[in-house]
Amino acid sequence: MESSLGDRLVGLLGSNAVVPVDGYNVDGLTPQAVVRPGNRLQVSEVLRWASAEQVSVLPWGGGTRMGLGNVPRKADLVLDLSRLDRLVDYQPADMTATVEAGVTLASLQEQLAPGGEFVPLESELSSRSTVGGILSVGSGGPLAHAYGLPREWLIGVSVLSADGIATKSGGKVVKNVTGYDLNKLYTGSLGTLGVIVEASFKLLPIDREAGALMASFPSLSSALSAGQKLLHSPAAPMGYQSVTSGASRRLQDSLNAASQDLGLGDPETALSFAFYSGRANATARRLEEGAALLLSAGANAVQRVEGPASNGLLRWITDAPSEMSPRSALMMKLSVPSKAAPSTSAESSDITLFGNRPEQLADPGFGTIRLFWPQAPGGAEEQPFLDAIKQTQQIAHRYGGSAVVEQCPLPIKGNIDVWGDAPDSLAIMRRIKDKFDPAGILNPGRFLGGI
Amino acid sequence: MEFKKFLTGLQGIVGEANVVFHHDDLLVFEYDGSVDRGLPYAVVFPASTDEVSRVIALAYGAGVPMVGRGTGTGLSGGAIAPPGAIQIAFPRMNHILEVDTENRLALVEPGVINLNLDTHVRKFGLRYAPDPSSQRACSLGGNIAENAGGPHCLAYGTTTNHVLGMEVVLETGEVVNLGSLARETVGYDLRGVFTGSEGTFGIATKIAVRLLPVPESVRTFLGIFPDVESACTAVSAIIENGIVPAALEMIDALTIQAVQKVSDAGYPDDAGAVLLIELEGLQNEVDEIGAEVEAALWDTGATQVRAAESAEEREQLWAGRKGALGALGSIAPNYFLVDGVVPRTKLAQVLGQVAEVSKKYDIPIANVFHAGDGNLHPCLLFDERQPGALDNIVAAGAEVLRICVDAGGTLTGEHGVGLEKKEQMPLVFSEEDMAAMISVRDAFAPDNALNPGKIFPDGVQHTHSAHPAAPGMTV
Amino acid sequence: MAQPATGLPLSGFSGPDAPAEADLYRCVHCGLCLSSCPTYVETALEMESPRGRIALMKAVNEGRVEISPRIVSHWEACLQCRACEAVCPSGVPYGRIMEHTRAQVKAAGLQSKELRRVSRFFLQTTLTHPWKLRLGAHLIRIYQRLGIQKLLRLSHLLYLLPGGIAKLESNLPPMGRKFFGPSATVHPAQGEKKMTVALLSGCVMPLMQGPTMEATVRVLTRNGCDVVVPKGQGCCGALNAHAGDLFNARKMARTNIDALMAAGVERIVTSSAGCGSTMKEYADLLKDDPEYSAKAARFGEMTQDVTELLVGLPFQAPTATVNRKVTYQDPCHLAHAQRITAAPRTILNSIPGLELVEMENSGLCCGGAGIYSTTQPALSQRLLKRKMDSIDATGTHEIITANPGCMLQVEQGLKARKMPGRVRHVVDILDEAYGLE
Repeated sequence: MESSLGDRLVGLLGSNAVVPVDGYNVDGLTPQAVVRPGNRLQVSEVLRWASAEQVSVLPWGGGTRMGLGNVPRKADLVLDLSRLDRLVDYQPADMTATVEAGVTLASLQEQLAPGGEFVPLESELSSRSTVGGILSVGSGGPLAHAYGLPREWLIGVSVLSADGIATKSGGKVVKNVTGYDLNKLYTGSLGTLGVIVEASFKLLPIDREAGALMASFPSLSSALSAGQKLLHSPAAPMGYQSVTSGASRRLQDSLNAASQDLGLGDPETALSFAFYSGRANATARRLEEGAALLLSAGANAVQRVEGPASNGLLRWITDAPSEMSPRSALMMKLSVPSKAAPSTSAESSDITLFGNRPEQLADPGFGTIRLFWPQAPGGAEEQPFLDAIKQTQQIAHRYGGSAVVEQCPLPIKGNIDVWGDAPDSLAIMRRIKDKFDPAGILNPGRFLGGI
Repeated sequence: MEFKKFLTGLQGIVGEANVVFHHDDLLVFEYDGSVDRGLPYAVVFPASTDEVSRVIALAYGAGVPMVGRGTGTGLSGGAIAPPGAIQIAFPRMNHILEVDTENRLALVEPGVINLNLDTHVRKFGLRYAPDPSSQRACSLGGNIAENAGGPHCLAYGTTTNHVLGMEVVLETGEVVNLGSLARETVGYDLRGVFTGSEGTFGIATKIAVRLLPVPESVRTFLGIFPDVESACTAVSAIIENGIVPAALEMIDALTIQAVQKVSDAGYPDDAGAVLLIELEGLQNEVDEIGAEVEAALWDTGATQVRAAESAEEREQLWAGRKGALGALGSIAPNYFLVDGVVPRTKLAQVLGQVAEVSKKYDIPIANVFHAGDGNLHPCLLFDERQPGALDNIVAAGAEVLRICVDAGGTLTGEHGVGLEKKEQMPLVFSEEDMAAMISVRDAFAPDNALNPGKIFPDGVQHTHSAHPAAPGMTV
Repeated sequence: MAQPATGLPLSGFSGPDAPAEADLYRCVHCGLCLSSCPTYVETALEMESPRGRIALMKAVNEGRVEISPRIVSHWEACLQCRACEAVCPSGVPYGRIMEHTRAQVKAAGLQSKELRRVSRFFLQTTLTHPWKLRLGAHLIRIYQRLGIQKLLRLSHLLYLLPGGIAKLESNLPPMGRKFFGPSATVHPAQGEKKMTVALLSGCVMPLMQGPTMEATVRVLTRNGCDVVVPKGQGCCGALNAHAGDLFNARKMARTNIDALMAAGVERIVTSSAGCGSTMKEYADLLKDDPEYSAKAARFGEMTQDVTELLVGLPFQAPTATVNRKVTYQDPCHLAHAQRITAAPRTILNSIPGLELVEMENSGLCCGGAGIYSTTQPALSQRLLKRKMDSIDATGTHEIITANPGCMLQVEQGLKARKMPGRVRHVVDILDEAYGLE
């Protein structure tokens, strides 16, 4: 009998690099082996070997978003990059930093803070999420209105190709059009084109003052339209998020004292958060004008949260989807043009799953709406899921956007493309995948259109 | 295919008046803003996506290479016709199709002039942030191809940070949409990798760009310094203070002399460097940060500091910077602009090394650049009519680029590689790096029919005169 | 397809009036001129841009191509408005290059039929002899009163005047009821005398805009100038120079230098922007004339546009109120060639009650451009349409400008569109305000 994958990897990298497979499940699939290389060279060796042996590889950062994407066609080997966690180069005066892919976002921010700077990446569970993972997912957070997506901040990347060859794109300078911008291609490619091992970022100075507004509204739709008014005013915040009352229940527990004045008893009530930072005077002015604007735009009550408390609020809202996850049967993320956010949200709220409407977390500035349908007793039947998913995708498509299933029961996940309908450029994407990973070993099947 | 028949085919698609093929007319399509030249076989002016698609399909079928041309202000030879190529230009596709103030975006055709878009959307309190120095003349299609930058990219990013989606025509004539009007899309970020692909992936026929609100307050500062070193110290001092200005620009002594020769921009004759800093934001924000900037300028040795708030005054402070490149014409008829980028902390060191190159090759080098993002623009001044002058310049330019790369920088910050810097690509990228890039091109344009011979090294040197007739095409 | 003439001996430009290489190669083809060029804005064609035209000149100069009718057509489509020159960061002296290029074209006998015709019957024959112009104007006046169409159709008199009138005889601009002209009279300054100025009478203006010339005299005397309009002067030669007829332009320049400088005045003043810009550049025109080059330089320094002179005096702001809205059209040769944009606005803004509504692209040529409306009627009309749209958008019915050509062109635009309104010179409205005091 042929020796196991794990044994062969021990032979290749030594026993230190091979770890037990417990806890490394992806969509219910247990890999045959998990390898945790200690350096880039080892990653390259693993890939070269896997490529030659037709062993499928699932790159793994902090493991926080491994549920994203379709069920992998094959899950032979998990490649855990968490040991590649060095800050390679940081020059505060250049406002750039180069890091290995396995460093967590929280750890990176801590190391940059003494230089008075931070990297404007946002991620749930930042103490576990790695830079490589955040880039692979390519999504933003509550401040996406101001910071955009990781694509805006990545200035260079080192990637190991499917067969282990080191390539790079971009560089360490903040402005660069030398060669094609493959940074953009790797960002958001969910590890299907290569394994990111190092990345360079443009940084920003840490703002001196931070603050937030917390406002309750009679309904989510009034919260969203008030948000759009605020975002189009001189008191525009860095980000504006609205949540339905069900989603905010946990917040009420954690911020009980602060939120009791907001009158959150009514189940229709929605809560909005507007985040600010900058110089003291300007932040104060924005908070003041912003509060007045929200009140005049229909808020029941507005509260100012200043200093560290506002950072706590931001962290809570950033992590909200992870908090919601265990209690949700179906989670979807819609991305639409910002103008369409209120109507997308309103129409989605009518889509029920086993009689339940979705809780919502909506960003009317960036145009992201996350829907969370709660778990229901006996809700394992397939068709209602498929119907809800389809209806949601139709709404998003009608507004020129997309709807991604972020979480659903496995049997259903196996029967759909969680990314929704493929755009007409799918053929180009497939050709790119074929060029970069001809053997199809990297995260096979997890990406759009089964890439 | 016989050329005449091909021509008739083109005329059949876009109309007779919209195909330029007479040699005398083609002479004005052989250049861009840089030093390379290449005579196109014909220039076609389509009026719609459908016409673009049909023109491309026809040329593709005939084996004729193609290149998109905006307004020919590029600085790397990007729009220069490869041997035997036709140019597709967009004077008829210059409409702003839609300004969506709620979504803060505009849908434009590729021939829309950058400044015209900005001026138009300002009526709605919005702006288009990327502002190349040629913004008065350059087109959005060209901006996409080159991922154009500009002074205000320090705070707002370059073109790629402002493009949401586009409709593009591939080399076969197939029309594909990339990106979307939503900020986040599923699948690979094809509009991201398309932007800056220098016309080799496809030709954009509709472009959706993001618009930003016009800031409440704008203030511009001009600092005069005795030398470049102290001005570089000022740049560091500002950045270290946690300030990211909207723009942070520097002009050196030789450029100052050139500017003053053409028209009085108000710079003292003995100034060693001029620093321009623009702040944007709320009034009290600009007040607070402005005071810090002024203090930083004085602290680092400025001999004069001026501030301007009204549009008119700001225009005056900017006039010298905006006209700087052209003003070099008063020193020498030609300049070769090197677009190298270095880490901000290496600015002073690299400028010193550039001065040594100037001495070594006996070439005057003027510096006018985006100091905030370390994007140098050493201009090597020469007269193309002098025999051997260009070869000397190309050698000196290569040395400047090597200095930038050695300092941890790169070849080009905003102008593109094009023809000009393709042979220097190996300074920055390995065979494998370039192979990865080329494989993306192969996914978009397997036959490499769009703008071939650009970006990647092929050993073919600069061409300064008309290309010979294309192989396979009988005249 | 024709192949470039590389390898052949240089044909290029030749002779003393060839465009200077130093001027040509100052253009670094950056393209910043494109958006300021009216013909490029209108056609979006590189061939119809300043950069394109210079590229063709360079190609000819380098012997890569010979001057062909096609190339000439691009050069002749140039309005010579010099808007490109004003925005050129390299300081390319485009106006000078184009005049010399046109001289080369003329010398080579390659001018277009239209330009040749206008040259023969108007530039070389009529403008050089003021009496012919006057005679023609008299005849037109008679024609306008009596309608003797046949007489005109049989003659070439329609070429006497610019403004596309050969094709638009029913739209002939009305001749002034009273012609203005040189005389021995001294118009004395009112109040304290500040200086003596010689006024250029010019060619078309005294015939068609006699009242404006009189208004010029009145506002100057009102502001302390003795005004003389010396005899012996003639047309400034601008139209000839623009068309490349440097021989006659020089002759006319010498005539004016002799006539106007003999008057012993401190300043030479004109209310025609086109004339002013040419007169200021007589030194360029006569740089190789040993007898006249120094005089021409002195003459140029003495010359001022009437608005420039008035603001420099400074003029007295009127006290009477003119409660009207007006818009101002920048004449190319004032705004671009002489870079004077503030002075006329200063005068307008000094008139109590007058509201100046700026039009979009005030500095973009109206398409008048001397004889351009006759030689390039199609492009001229397109530019005129653009200009009339801008004027229309201001909602004003009074267009102020500072050049006779612009006045005629915009008047024609008003008539063609049946728009209400009138076109006046800056001095007309200043004179009106003084008159109301």
